[in-house]
Amino acid sequence: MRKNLLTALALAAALLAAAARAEDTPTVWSGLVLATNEDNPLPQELEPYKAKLEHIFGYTHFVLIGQHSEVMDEPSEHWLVPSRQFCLQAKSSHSPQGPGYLVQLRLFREEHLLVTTKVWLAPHNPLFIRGPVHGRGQLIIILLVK
Amino acid sequence: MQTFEEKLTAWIDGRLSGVELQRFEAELASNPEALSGKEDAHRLGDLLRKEYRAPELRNADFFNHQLLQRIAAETQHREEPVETAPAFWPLWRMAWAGGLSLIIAGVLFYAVVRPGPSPAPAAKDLLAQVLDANTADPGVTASSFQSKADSVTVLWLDGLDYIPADYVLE
Repeated sequence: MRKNLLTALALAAALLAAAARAEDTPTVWSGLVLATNEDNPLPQELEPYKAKLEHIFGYTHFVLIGQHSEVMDEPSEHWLVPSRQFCLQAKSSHSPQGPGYLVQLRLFREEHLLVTTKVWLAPHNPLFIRGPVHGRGQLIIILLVK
Repeated sequence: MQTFEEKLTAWIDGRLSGVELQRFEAELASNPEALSGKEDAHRLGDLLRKEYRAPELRNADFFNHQLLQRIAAETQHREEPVETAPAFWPLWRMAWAGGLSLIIAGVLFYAVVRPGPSPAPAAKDLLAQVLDANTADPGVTASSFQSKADSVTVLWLDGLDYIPADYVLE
């Protein structure tokens, strides 16, 4: 009886520790968006960004081509692959200046490196990367720390 | 052993007797001044007793009563502690005032003299920052800006290859 109780307590402690670690580990969400003036239903994932996208890029409708969430649990290399054609190589580290994460990004279109950048990603507020112009509008890559 | 003065006083008072008296008088035979001193002492004693009598106490009981009352009053006065006026600043009041002064000084110091650090911005007000951007193609330029009204940071790439509309994105 006592052994079972101790085992249950140890298991509960381990689960709690894992949950705490998960909370501390950031997740970076990336999405490839086609901004267009063609009539398209707005995806639920883009509802928080519709007004911002409209104001900055001037388009009225937005299509979510692809998305990807990556848990940045280690400072080693991660791949953010919101679509087959566009992906980002990321190396992150916790910012010593407060909340947020320092990320070294390399944006690829298929095998071609487009840009290398060092960014400080803030929680709650996204980073928009203006991609190539598309025949139907504008490609935009969104990065957000969750 | 009595000294000569003690014996002389006892002889004048008539308290010597017997052998001791005879010896002392034999000793005095060689001291005529001591003999005259005895006579003078007797005459003085007679004069005092005659002329300077203590007055008679008429109401002895009343006198005793008054005297005892006075003694009792003086005794009680001596036993009662003397009340001193309280100090304007007793120790406890000084300690209380000192502590209160320190608190007020501390509050004033932190409120007026020492400015506090500017409050850290809330996490939701922080925007992403582009610290560095380098394009692989010299024909492509990278710039960045922040839109505080929209709470967003933009990395603006110009000069990337055009993607035709029939290009399938997935």
